Formats: sequence, structure tokens, C-alpha cells
Amino acid sequence: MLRLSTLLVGTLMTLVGCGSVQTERGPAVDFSGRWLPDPSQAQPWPDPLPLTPEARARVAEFVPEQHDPTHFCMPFGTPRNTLATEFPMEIVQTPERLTMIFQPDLSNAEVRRIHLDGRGLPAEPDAGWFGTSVGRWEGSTLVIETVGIDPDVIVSSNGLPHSGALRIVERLSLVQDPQRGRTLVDEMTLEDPGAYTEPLRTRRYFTWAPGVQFRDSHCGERLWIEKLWRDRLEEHASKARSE
Amino acid sequence: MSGQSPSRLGRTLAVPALVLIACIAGKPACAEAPARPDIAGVWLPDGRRNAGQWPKNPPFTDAMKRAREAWAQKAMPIDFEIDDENTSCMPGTMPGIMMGIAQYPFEIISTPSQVVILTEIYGLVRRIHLDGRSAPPELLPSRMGFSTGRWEGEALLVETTHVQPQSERANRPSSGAMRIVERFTLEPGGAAGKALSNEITVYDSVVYKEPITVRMYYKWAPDVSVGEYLCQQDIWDQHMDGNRSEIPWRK
Repeated sequence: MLRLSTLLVGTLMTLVGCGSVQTERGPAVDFSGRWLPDPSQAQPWPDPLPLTPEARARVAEFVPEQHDPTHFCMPFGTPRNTLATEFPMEIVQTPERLTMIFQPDLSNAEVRRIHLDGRGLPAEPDAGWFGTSVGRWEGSTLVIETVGIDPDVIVSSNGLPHSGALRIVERLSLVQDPQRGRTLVDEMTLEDPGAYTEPLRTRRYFTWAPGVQFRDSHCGERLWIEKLWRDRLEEHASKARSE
Repeated sequence: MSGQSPSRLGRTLAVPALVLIACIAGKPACAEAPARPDIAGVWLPDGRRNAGQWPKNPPFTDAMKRAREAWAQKAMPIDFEIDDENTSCMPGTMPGIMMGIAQYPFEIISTPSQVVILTEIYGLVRRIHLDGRSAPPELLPSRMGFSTGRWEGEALLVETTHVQPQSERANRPSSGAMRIVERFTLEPGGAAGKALSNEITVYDSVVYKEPITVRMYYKWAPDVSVGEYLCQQDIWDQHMDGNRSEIPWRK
């Protein structure tokens, strides 16, 4: 029935004007553009965190230099890329897809692909660093569900883990903030009975920033420079020894 | 990766049919709507057609020829453990990333204001601005460079500048003066029903005596999805296995 109604709406819009064909099944809201996260508005995690004993043990053991994948040029991964508040985000939106692009400094680009074409989530998703996501419109809110996240992904920079069965629900909406202007709100719920004794909820705010520039930096550059320095230092050391 | 459900296919076909009906009814808006070819989707480089397009002996300027010979005398044979950027996961640059012959797909997202190209290899993001903007004055060079484009009839014309120069030791050296012009067009046929052609011309009078033009082809691959390419996965896996000493530059 839903399909039929969207087709009828599409038909009406087509008859009104050819330019509106793209709105056949939404989007109700256009999130396209460049966005800067606002750390001052980020909702803190509940304290204490409702963690299972296993998850609590992993947090206690966490040493960033040893256990944070980004120290090894691995991605932040989903949902940490969306929660981080350290780097800008670009959204590219078409009727079938919402694509989030993150380009953290001295790190590789990360892309989240959110399918809006009505497909369901796979029953047994492959594990990946960015997850498998689908979205649906509830009025002017986009509800995104994400599964299939690699167990190596940590949720926060202080090592909040998940069990591998993490399911994320996000509600994306636009608001007009009197001070900050056009603002994107991402209300996120993390469900993972293996790691959290109750769903974790948090919220992030992004300010519209059309002028923001993305730097073209790659994590390999960091490793490469590190390697060049090591080679150069060894070269100098051996020269010094031979003199 | 997902097949089209019948209902989705039905809608996909229904809408153009309705547009056609509306057009026949003489809606003035239809005459103005530009008939742009649909280049969106996942594409696979056509290795068979693309291989060997770049000249074996490019027309290097005398200065570049001398620089390459001097470097070869000094540094050959190459020790890839030390010299190869790829072992440090350094990605490719323009125009090389559009000249793929290996089976790494890329995806095109097409909107009225920009065309975004997402590659699987190295997970690169390339933006082609269609909104009339020009490069900001303080823009630093980058591996993708700065690209602007416009539709000209059936073709998407793209101009790229601000590409990070590649030294004389690179396969395809380039200077800060390099300008790349691309002409994307769709062509019918092939197993998938359509292919994307990209005529690439490289202008760089510091490195090449004359412009070099190649034509690349990409096969439409609607059933392929662009995967995650995590170049440093080996390092991470070795680390997780407790084998830190295997990280070559962190001994």
C-alpha cells in the first residue's frame, strides 16, 4: 500500500511539473552540504555507563596507544566517525541514498552509505568498519538503522567497546538554532545486550558550514613521514659513525 | 549490492513513462529539462581496453628527461622495501586514479551541484564542482586536485588543477602547472548495456613537450558494491595478534 501511495504522489508531482520527479519518494528534507560538529552541544554519555562485566573489563584495560585502531591508520569506524566531533562531515543526498563523508586530518576518508530505496537490512550482515545502513522517512525525520559493525571498532576514544552485535538507530532532523543557524541533529541509540545493560543514548549537533574545506590527507602520509624520518636519522647516524 | 525488487523496477519504469506522457501533453517545463546522461552508479575499469593507453615513452621535456636519468643512475635498482610509497599505503593521484586497469570499482554520485567519485582502491573521495565555484586562492595542492565541471550536451567536461606534483621518479611525473581535461560520455553496448568513456588530456609543459590524450572505459556494474579498502589492515591484524615487531617502520 505504501508503495502504491508513493507512486500516486509521484504521478501527481510528475503531472504538476517534470522537475519534481525526483521527489517521488522523498526526500522530505535535504541534508546535503558540509557540516561542522559542535562539541559544546554534544550530549555526554551517562555516568556510570550501563556496561556488562565483559565490556567494563575491556574499558578498564584500554590503552589508546595499544588499542585505538586510529593509532594504526585504521578508521574511526561507525558510529565513532559520526560521534567524534573532531572533523567536518559532508552529506551528499539523492532520493535513493544518503552518503556521509568524513575526512579527518591525517587519516583516510570514511564513507557511510545509507540506502533510502526501501531495501531491508541483511539478516546476516558482513562485518565492516562503516556498517550496513538503511534509512526511512518519518515525516521530516530520517531514521537510520545500522548493523554489521566490525568488533574491532571502538565507539569512543576512551575505548567504549561493543560486542559485535551492535545495532544503531539514528534520528536525523534539521532545526533552526537562534544562535547557530541551520543545525543538523543526530539522536543516536546504541543497542547491544552483549556490551550494554540498557540502550545507550546520545545526541550530536552539526552546524551548516558550506565554506569548510576538506584537507586531502591520508594516514599513509603520517606513516610515510615517520618512515622517512627514521631512514634519515639512520643515515645521519651511520654517517656520524663512519666519520 | 542488491538486486532490484520487482516493485522498485516497476516504479523505475513507471516514472519515465509518466514523464513522457506529461511531455507529450506539452508541459513547457519538459522542454527546458536538460537530458543529461545518467552517469551515477558503480563502474569497473575496463582493463582490456585501458591497458597500454598511456605512452610507453612519453614526450618528456629535455629538463625532465635529464632529471629522470640522473635519478635512475643514483637510485636504481629500486628497493621497494625502502622506496615504494605504496608499501606505506600512499594512494594514487590524478590523473592516474582514473586510469585503472585492475578490477577495483568506483562509484559516481551525481547531483545538480556536484559529481562525487568514491573509489574502492584507497577509499578516495573526488569532488567535481558543478556550481560555478572556482578554486579558493589559498588552496593547497592535493592528490585529487580541484575539479570543476559542466555539462555540454551529452558530455560532462571536467577541468582539474592543484594536483600535488609528482617527482621525476614517479611513473607519471607532474608539475604544479598540470591541467587535466576530462570528457565523460556514455556509450551503449557491452554486456552491461552501457559503458562510460573518459577522454583524458594532460597539459603540463614543464614535464611533457606536448599534451597527452588517452581514452579510458569503465563498465557499468549495477550488481557490484564498492567495498572497504583498509590498506593498513595487515599492520592492525599483526598488532592484534601480538606481533608488533612486524610493523616495518615501528621496529
